[in-house]
Amino acid sequence: MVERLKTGVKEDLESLKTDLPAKAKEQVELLKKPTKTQVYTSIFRHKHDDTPRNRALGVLSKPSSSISIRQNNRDAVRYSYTWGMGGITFYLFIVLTLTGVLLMFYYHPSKVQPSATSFISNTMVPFGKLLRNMHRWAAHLMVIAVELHMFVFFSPLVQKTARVHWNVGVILLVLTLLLSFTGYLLPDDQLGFWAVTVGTNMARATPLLGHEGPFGSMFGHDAVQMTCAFRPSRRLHRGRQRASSLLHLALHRHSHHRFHFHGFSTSGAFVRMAASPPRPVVLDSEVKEAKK
Amino acid sequence: MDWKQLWEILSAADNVPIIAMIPLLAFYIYLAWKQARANDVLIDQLAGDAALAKTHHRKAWPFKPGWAKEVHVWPFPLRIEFLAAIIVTIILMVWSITLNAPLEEPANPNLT
Repeated sequence: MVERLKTGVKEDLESLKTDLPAKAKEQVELLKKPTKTQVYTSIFRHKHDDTPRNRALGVLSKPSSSISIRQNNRDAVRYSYTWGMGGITFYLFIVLTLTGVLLMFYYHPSKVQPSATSFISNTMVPFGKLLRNMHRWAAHLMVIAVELHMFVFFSPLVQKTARVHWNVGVILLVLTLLLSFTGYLLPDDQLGFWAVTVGTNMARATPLLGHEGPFGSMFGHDAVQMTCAFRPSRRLHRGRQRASSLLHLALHRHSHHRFHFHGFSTSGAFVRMAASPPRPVVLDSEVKEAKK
Repeated sequence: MDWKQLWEILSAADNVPIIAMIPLLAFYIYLAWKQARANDVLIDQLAGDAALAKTHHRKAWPFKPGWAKEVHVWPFPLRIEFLAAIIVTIILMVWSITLNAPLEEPANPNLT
């Protein structure tokens, strides 16, 4: 037993004598070529020569592939046509979500304690004022960006093939406006109070669905009832935020992957709906009759 | 109404985005119609020339020889979108630091 151990240790020591220099040499060689090390190859997974294969690998193995499709039509992503409004809207949505979550920590819908918003706005919360200002102005900017994003309606492709995309976009526009409205009420100040007064009176005047409809009791004249509106508006604000984000991520971005828009046209908005494959410029001679 | 009163209304914090929308909308309406018109001119041109309609790349702007029809999402559009996000962040920060969001006294139904 002891003999076996002795010979084993001897063999190991001898092999170390020969293996160690070889391994050290290997490591030194690797240091000369850092791009061959395991650490490097785990971060940079492919070569960076400008070949179609490497570019495709670069795109497919990065998170950017979840933002848009791997390849886009050059004209579809031309900045003078998209104006980047979709991306800016999405970015502002993220800014609003982050600032909104932070504001929610301090917000408390109560008539008893002093206004939560004034608490945040005063110096009690570090950067509270900046946070609230950012949330407010980003909301306004988002409404502007969404409205400018709607100019894609002039694109012949939207009129022809991307109607689902358009419809989801319209729902998202409505959600954005409703988010803006419910958010307006949350500070529970005079501005918000008169906004909810105007809002509920408008809803009350809606034919069939207004005061004579199933939700009639919600649109009362009672001023006291209106003062309580900021409570449900908080729930609605959060609920719509979730609906908006889900709808955006699930549908609008998904169909965006299949959606290349090509350009604007002043004429023939509805004539070209029946045209076959999406093209930037569709001639009347190429327009097929709509199937009846 | 005098000019001072008008200025007070226009410069109210809540009205700033509305005022900002006026030149923005004017500019983007002009841009959209300019692009639309260029496309319409091209449509008329191609409709009158069948041979050109088959060979033209069907864009109102010139197409450089050697350009690929499709471009990769990175870096082509994402680089520009990232730049746009940075510019928006700067605008938003400057706006938020210089102008406070409006906050009036607590809601009071007796005060109209």
